[in-house]
Amino acid sequence: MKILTVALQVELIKLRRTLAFWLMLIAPLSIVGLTVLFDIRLAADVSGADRDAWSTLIRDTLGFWVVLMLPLFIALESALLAQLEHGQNMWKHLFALPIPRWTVYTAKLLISILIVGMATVFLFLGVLGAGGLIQALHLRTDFHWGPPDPSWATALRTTGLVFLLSWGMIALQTYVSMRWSSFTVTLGVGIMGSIATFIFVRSLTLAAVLPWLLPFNALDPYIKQGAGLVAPLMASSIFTIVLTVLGAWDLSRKDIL
Amino acid sequence: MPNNRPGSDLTMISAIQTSDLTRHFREVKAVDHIALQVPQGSIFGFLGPNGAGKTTTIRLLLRLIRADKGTIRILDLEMPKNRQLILQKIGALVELPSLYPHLTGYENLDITRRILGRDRQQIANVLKIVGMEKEARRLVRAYSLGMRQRLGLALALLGDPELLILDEPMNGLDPAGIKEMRALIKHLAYDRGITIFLSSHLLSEVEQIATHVGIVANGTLIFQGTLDSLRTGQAPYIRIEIDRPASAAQVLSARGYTVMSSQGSTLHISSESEMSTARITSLLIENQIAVSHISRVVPSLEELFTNLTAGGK
Repeated sequence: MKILTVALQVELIKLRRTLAFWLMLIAPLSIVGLTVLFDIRLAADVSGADRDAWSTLIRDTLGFWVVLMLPLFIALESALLAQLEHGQNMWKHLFALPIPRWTVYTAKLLISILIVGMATVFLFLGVLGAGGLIQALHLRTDFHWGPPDPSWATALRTTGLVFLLSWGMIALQTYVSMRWSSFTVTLGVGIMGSIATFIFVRSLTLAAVLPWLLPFNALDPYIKQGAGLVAPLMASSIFTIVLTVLGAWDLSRKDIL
Repeated sequence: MPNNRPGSDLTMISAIQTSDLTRHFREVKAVDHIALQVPQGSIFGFLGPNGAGKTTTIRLLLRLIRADKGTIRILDLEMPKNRQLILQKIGALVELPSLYPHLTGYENLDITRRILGRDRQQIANVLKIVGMEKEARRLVRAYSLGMRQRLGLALALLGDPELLILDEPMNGLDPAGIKEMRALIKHLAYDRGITIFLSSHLLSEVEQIATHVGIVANGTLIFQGTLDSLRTGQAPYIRIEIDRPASAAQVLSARGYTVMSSQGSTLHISSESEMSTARITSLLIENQIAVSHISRVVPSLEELFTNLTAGGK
């Protein structure tokens, strides 16, 4: 456990001055900005903001996040994190040190999860900030800012579930990015996942099994999907466990040339 | 040379010992049944032309790649059974140093320090050894190649190693940098008692500091021992240029001389004494063979190394 803590500390040092670090802020806040732009240009009665502006803002932000940004964000983050090692062939230095190889893999996965978790927090805080700003600047006086329905608790739970259901996707992209040194392969898989999300997001069966589509199931209180959470949560857990074991095993056996 | 010259009082305890070490890459035998014996306390120059198998051997020693066959013992511990323990006791610099360019030199050292479980003071110690205290807070991407090499060496020294494995540490350095690196390696071996395993493709780079050498060509170890024992292979010979080499070879052979080689109008004859040149000249003239050049040649260590490695091809 101690060695894993050290590996995590080391990963945090490596994040300094990297795009991977700044992207954790840029990606969620750009989605919040896009949603605000989208919502303030729509007729309030079309978006539903004339009755419940908070709920509309939460629904649209989470929707755009899950469908437009999350698959690409995770692909880009995992590629950037893995490139820190592939880029300068850091493996030959790291693996000549007395550290079990699996800890390097696990720490990389945990950092990716942490980054996505932080981005999710910034996304939620961004929604709160954006709502406050729209009110303060009187951008839309026809919006109604009463207590949201679904409640704030549901909004928080939904955001948390989006994060939890993204673990399978993080595990998959981490595996791909650590296994193949090419940036193109990792991004290619991410782009393919994004397209799949776009096309199959309303398919009950695929949205419950494809790792890129799993977070969409969390939006059920806002966008009725009906698949429930048990199957997607199980799928996300299975992907996470299987791909982590496979990735750590693969890296442990890898020849460092 | 001072009495504390590394390897001078060798009790033949091996810092590195391999047997039958073999590794293929598809059909190519990169390392072929290598049996290394690196004495503890020595500066061991691991020499061979590019592509001879030096880096592959080093990667096998560090368990960066797996051997197809053979055993490895490092500091009396079996690899890979005791991988963690062995890696705790050795420092390595494989080819160009692996560094995070977006971090400072200090941050690069801090990463390795944490993995090795050393305190911060150790960073200051190694920076002092490699003379980089002033540059440590600069981003590595702004470092020259020489500075990167020194930082790479500092990384290898962080764990206070008993054995230092350096793969072509002088690659890309200018003459001043090479001189500095040599001095640093000598200091580590003489003053700190670290066994140094140092690979190079140039004998001239290591012959001034190595106590022992191993020569590898085409994946095979063709020589290992002290530099002095390598020098015993430096038998002088006589080089003659004549108009009729075939007749000359016949005449000289009939008189008991050994013709080592013949190329065009040049013959190489084994030489036993300084007097041979005079006797051979008279003999050839007596047989109406015109001699345009005759000299006694003592081959340099470099020439010997080249001949040895060329022989392996």
